[in-house]
Amino acid sequence: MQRRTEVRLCCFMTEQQHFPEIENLELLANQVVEGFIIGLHKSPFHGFSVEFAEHRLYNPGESTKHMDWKVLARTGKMFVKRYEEETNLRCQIVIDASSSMYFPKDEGAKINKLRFSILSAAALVNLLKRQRDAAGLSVFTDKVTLNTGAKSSTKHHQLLLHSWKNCWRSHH
Amino acid sequence: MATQLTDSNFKETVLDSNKVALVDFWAEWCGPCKAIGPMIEELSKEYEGKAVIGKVDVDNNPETAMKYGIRNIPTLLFVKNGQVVDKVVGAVPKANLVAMLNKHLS
Repeated sequence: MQRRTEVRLCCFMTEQQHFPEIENLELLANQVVEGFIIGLHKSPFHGFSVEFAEHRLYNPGESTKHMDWKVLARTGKMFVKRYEEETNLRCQIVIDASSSMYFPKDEGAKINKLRFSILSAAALVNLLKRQRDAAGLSVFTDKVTLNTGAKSSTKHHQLLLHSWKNCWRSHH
Repeated sequence: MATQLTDSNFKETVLDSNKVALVDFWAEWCGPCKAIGPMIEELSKEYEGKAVIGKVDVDNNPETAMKYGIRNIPTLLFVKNGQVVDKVVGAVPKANLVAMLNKHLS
């Protein structure tokens, strides 16, 4: 899966004659992920992580939220459905923003290693966001300049994108 | 085909057997039980003569289910020399069951 994103990202980069402006980072990251996501999962709410795994006897007093009503109607037995545990991924993206990442230093170049990293990271975060997984960001030079925890909220993802935009601008 | 176990033949087929037994507690109306059903049938062919692979319908054999405190289905019990040596609750991949069977067979 990671490999496919990488390939798609590289194709996307090489297709761009004029590298778009940073204001479009969110859209760009979305475009990269969009094509990759379509057809992979019907919805982030279905799939392996919420697989129906077993029936358990209902304990009097517990919530009837997961009661299997069909089984109750057919057999008169009270069972609740149990699902596979949610598998949550916590992803920490670490970006090297030291001077070696400015390569190629050609003035006319629209993209350098750092910009590529930022766009790749933004695409990855979009992917994680759609899977409801948590993402965090660390940026370092000779010292750590930014370090956030891994969260899955939309607000946090926006904060990460905002940090990348700042990082992009300050290193241009 | 997996041995159909009942309250009456459970002792003779599983507990008194000198082979390792894998017992699947299931019910006709349980989706996950149906999902692992074919897997149990495959295992019964693959381990024919080496292990006893059987199924207990909990609706028709409540005594056995109660004796082993089966509250969740599917539940898979591994029985060796009349004693429960391992237990798996819920639908699991075949590879896990094969690994556990091999562990108890060795």
